[in-house]
Amino acid sequence: MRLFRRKPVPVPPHTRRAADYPGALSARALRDLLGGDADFAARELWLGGDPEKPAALFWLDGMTQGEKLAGELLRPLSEDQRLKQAGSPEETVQLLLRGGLWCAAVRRVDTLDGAARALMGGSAVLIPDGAAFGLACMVRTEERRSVEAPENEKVTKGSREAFSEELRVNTALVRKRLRTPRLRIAEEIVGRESLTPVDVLYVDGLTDPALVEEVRRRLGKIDTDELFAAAWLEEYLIDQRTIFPLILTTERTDKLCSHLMEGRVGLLADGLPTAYILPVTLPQFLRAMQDNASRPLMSSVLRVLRYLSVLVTLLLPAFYTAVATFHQEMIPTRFALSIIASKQDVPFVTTMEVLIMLLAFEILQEAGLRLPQNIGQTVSIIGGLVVGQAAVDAKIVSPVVLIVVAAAGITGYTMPNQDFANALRLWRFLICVAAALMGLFGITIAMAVMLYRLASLETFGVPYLTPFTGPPRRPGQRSALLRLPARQVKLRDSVLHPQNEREQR
Amino acid sequence: MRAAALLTAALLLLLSGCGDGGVRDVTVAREIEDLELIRAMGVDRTEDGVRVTLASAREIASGGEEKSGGGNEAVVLSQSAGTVSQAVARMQSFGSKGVFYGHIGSYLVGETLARDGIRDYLDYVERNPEMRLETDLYVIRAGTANGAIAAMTGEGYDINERLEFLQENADLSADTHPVTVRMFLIRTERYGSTICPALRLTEHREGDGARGDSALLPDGFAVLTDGRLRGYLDGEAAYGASLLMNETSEDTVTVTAPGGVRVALTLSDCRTRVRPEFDRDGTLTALRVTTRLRAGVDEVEGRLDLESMAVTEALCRSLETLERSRMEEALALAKSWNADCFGLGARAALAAPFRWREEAWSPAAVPVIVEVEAQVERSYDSFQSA
Repeated sequence: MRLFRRKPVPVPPHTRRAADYPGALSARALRDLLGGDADFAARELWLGGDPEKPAALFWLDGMTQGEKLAGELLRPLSEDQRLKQAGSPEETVQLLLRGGLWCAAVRRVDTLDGAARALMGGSAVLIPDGAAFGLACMVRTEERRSVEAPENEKVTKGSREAFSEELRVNTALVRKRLRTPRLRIAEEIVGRESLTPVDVLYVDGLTDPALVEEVRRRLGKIDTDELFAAAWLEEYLIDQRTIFPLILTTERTDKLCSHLMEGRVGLLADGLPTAYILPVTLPQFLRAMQDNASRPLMSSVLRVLRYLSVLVTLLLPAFYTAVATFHQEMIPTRFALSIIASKQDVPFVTTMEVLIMLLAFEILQEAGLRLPQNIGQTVSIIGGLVVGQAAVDAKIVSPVVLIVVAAAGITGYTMPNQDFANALRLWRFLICVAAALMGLFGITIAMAVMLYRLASLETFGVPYLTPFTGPPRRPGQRSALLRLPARQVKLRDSVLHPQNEREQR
Repeated sequence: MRAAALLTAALLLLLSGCGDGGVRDVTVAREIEDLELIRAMGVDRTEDGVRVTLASAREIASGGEEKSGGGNEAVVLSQSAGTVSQAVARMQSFGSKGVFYGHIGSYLVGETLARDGIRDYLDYVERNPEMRLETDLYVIRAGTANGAIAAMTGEGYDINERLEFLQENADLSADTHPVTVRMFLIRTERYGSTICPALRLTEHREGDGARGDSALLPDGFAVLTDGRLRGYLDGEAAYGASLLMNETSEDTVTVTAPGGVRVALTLSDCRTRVRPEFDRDGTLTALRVTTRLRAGVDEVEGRLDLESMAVTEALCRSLETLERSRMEEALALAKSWNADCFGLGARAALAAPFRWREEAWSPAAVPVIVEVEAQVERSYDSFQSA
């Protein structure tokens, strides 16, 4: 095995401690820490209007809402006469905690680090003069993107609520849809600098506690400075290296709720309008929420079509390369003659033609994604029709190759999950190269390697190819290929070890 | 993972029989545009061996229409050698493209070679990995395969079109049906004799639909015993042969109804069964061939009461007489050659497997009784419709 492994290069350790500012809290210390920041704001107060009881209020401009600050903090702090009458600082604090402040959430902070984090989270921190503690009052701004329809997972019938970047809005959307008090939302803070809250959602009494524990353990092990990108969470949670996605992402609230009720765990990270679902198996990536919006027969047909599309998008260019280069006897004679005629004067061999067109297709797709939507569509149309036709006319590629690559590309768009579609795109290249080297024999080897790889994958103990591998499906469980009528789905998937396997009477 | 994938690939290579005749043979890359797709292959006897003639398919333009011009016409290659393999190998160096045999649809045999025996020359078809056993087999009656291919290939037309038409539209006529090399070999092995369609090259006449100076027409069946040509079943005997082989799917016959009215009947369902008959000692006494026919009235030349049972009965009897005579004529010819070319013995053995004794069966000695049961159904009455 040393033959295939590089010698490890030593890297410096991540040595900083978890608490950035361990010192004692005071108004002066907080000013020293954040006073140089442009958005740092502070105001001196007299509690209850008593000059004998000065205090300082700190907040970050833009993170807080001015109305809340004025109405829920400044007004009661300056007008409440009970504060004036309070004796000791401790009595003042108790009064503030128990109704003296009108904001909904108030908590005591005793460290500089805690106060700083509270400010970053949208709280205002009140520090009575001379006190070594403060009160963090939640006056966070409500300005956020409204709940919008999903962009990538559209359905003709059904909910049009998509997650947004605001974590609490997202958890509220889940709560609104899944009203059981047994829905648990546990929070972990990920990222030393970004301090990103990541919520773990599951249904108590249904989801396997060991699964929840393992997810939280892996979240807790993440030791990084920031968590911003959508793929990072997946990469940190999954140890295995593969191009195939091992965590299902969705922007639909109903999809997350549906999976939670099947016994899976959901993750929501602040700042990401995406929910993560785990553990998942390959069939989950071929299911669309639209399936549940159509009649079972129609959904089943579409689902089978998606499986066929997987084969077409994966194998069609490779199959064409193989039969046109190695197995010409497999092609019907008239079609073979058509191919020969279309390839007259084309300077490239079939393999190069296919690879060039596949590469051009990927470039066009990438260009379409990077550009604004309207221009992107134009690029796709111009690229697909005009450039394609021009390439055929110029005898750079043959029309058959154009059709083959276009058909493979278009069938790839039927995949409900973009990550899964991307994995198929990469494997399409590999299989095509294998076909160019050894024809159908090469395709067989490449497919065997891919299946071997898929069969060796698992997410949180669940084999990736379930239910195609493992124990047979029990009557009443969901089918991977077909969408059974809702009444017939009685049992949850046993590989998830749900505490309650029975789904309905 | 990489090591595992490489290991898997290596194991698969081993399973393939990598080496001589293994992976190397199936992974020879050839660009399709560099191949001359051969559609028809003809073999004739020469003084010192065989003459192999190949006809390639005509190229089609990318728009689908056939190209005109010499470069795109069907190519005819011909070479004499001691064996088919040798001739074929020599032809690989002809022209600007590699000769590819994977698309051969028809295998033509000249009459001289057929008389000497074609079994040995089909060995090439069996052994060549490019060639298919599903190739149709034809005997060129009173001619050579080379002559047929050369005569039927010219500017704007080629023999392949004609052969493809014969194969795809064999159902339209009951006096011929295609026989593949596989069927020929199996039947020869099982029955000792078999039939295969015969083609005759004739001069083009007005109205035969042929292009060029010649026409290639079906002309009954060649009867071959142990691969050697014994004779032909043509005319009415050819229709009888198709009935006996259960290959008649559709046919139009003309019978005479009471009053001399000629009626065209279209056969729609024909089934022939063969049963052996034994005496009390278990000795084979005869084979009974029972054919059931269904036909519809296609055309009536005159007035005829088709609702009359008497008329229908008369049509049935006429049809039965006609088809019985066809089958008896075919059987008589086969009997004269002592050839069980219709596989009657094997079919009778399947009907009575425990009483059948192979040694008791001889096409020349055991009488064959032919029964025909016809049912004529009135399709529609044009007078009543009017």
